[in-house]
Amino acid sequence: MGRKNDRSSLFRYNRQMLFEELGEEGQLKLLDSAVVVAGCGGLGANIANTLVRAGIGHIKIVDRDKVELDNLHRQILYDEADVKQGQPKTTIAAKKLSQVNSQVVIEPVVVQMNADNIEDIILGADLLLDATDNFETRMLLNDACIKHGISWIYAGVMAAYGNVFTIIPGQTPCLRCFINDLPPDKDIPGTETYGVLPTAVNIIANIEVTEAIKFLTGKKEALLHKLINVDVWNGTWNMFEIEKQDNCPCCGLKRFDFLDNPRQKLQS
Amino acid sequence: MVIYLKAGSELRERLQPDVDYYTRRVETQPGKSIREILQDIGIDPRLVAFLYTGGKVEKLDYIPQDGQAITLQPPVSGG
Repeated sequence: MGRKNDRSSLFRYNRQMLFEELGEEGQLKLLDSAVVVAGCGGLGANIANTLVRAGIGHIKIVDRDKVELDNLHRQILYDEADVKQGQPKTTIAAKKLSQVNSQVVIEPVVVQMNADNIEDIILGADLLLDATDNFETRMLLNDACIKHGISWIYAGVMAAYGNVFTIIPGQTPCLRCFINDLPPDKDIPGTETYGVLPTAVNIIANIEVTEAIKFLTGKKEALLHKLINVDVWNGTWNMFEIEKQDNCPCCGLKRFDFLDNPRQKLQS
Repeated sequence: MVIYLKAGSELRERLQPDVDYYTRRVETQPGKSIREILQDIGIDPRLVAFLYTGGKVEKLDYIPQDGQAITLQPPVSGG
């Protein structure tokens, strides 16, 4: 991923740099960073918005979808005109966010992530942020990121709650260390069945970006290193330890089932 | 022995709680995994992504102890 390191105007990040854990040094690291946002729906639009404002230097946003009316309650970058015009979400997001911060490079990619293209999409990135809406793609991201040693942050949200977990290849458990074999995504009830609160989306996205800022600025000791589960309706925030599995097919045995066999499904 | 299974919205309906809104008391045999226990009570284990218990995330092969509380986490797929 190309990087545009414009350090000419740090003033816009003044309030962020005043946060002592970040400072100017941290801000410069953010400006030198390249990330992939996988998905540009509820989580992705929120994540991209915050990453751009925070000054992450190069942001590749990947999504194939167009905006629909029932996206608007939670997908903060889009409006009714976008629904009518029918442009891809990433195109709209890049256009709007480039007006927010012209210092960063925003690269929209209109494509469905799959086993044929995922490695090209992620190569060169310092970090990937998960904003997908299905587990088949997440398992693919997990395979590709573990294979290439790229850290990524898993996040999912449904109803009033969500999960976040930061995965660092070789150091932390990966997604397959703790997610059981699941049925095909078409058989897993999702937000189309149980709905999703915009407040849950927003808080999960912002936890994810906070983890990203820690990672990109080298503050890895500040990463939470646990699975975070937040329920905005019940008002609960829980963190759970996850053990790395030596026999994990992905990070343990280095078997990349979802990359190597595109038809691999989440079935035992 | 007895364990207590807990689940939120989508799994809660299948779990049929009887202790409180989220919790079902389940009588089972020692040594059985959560996967086997779920099958015994008619819940497809594939609808559970992972478990929470004792501050840790566990997989379905986890074998609970008498009196233990286990929270079932469905796949959180939305983005």
